[in-house]
Amino acid sequence: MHKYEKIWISLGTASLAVFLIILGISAVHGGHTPAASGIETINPEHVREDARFSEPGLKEATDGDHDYDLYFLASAFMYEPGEVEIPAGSTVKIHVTSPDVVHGFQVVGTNVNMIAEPGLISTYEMTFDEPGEHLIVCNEYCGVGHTDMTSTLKVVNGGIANE
Amino acid sequence: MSEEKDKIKKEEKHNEDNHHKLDLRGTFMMVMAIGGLMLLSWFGAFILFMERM
Repeated sequence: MHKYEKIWISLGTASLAVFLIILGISAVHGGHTPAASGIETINPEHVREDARFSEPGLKEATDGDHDYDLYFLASAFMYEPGEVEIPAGSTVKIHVTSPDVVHGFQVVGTNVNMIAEPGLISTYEMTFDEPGEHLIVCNEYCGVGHTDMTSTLKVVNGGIANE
Repeated sequence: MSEEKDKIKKEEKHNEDNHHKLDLRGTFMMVMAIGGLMLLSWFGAFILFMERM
């Protein structure tokens, strides 16, 4: 084998190994919740009878080390709540589920990017430090109204002013 | 029979020598350049992810 060939083949193999290790680690850490990780389930036909999702929105946390729980219902073709305000600097645990089909839940400009699946409650914990406005979009094609499926997340200074 | 074998062996040796004499500097540079580009874009995405934490 040529000397140069040996170099690039070893570098290529080494980088493949490194990337596979990174992929393996990130598959089970860093907020990922694969189906086998004990993700919380919910009956999709009775989502609205659930106390948390009957009036989705921002609620003060009762347990855990986050400040607020933010419940979001993603359905065809809207989000509930349609707009939410979060006090700047607070740590929020976002819970999303769907009563119908698979939807996406992406808070633009942040790392919050989840799939809302009927029957499962996707969660992600995030600290919002910078005041500002984030668009929430559906990034899983869900039907004719997919493009109009949005919500707004406002990070504001001061108190909580929801609903 | 053995003559033929010798001939084949000689040819293989000849091919091997030719392979080592190949000028692969340009190929090597391009392989490294593409590798560098991949590494750079990976770190670009990673930095973006870390900034948004």
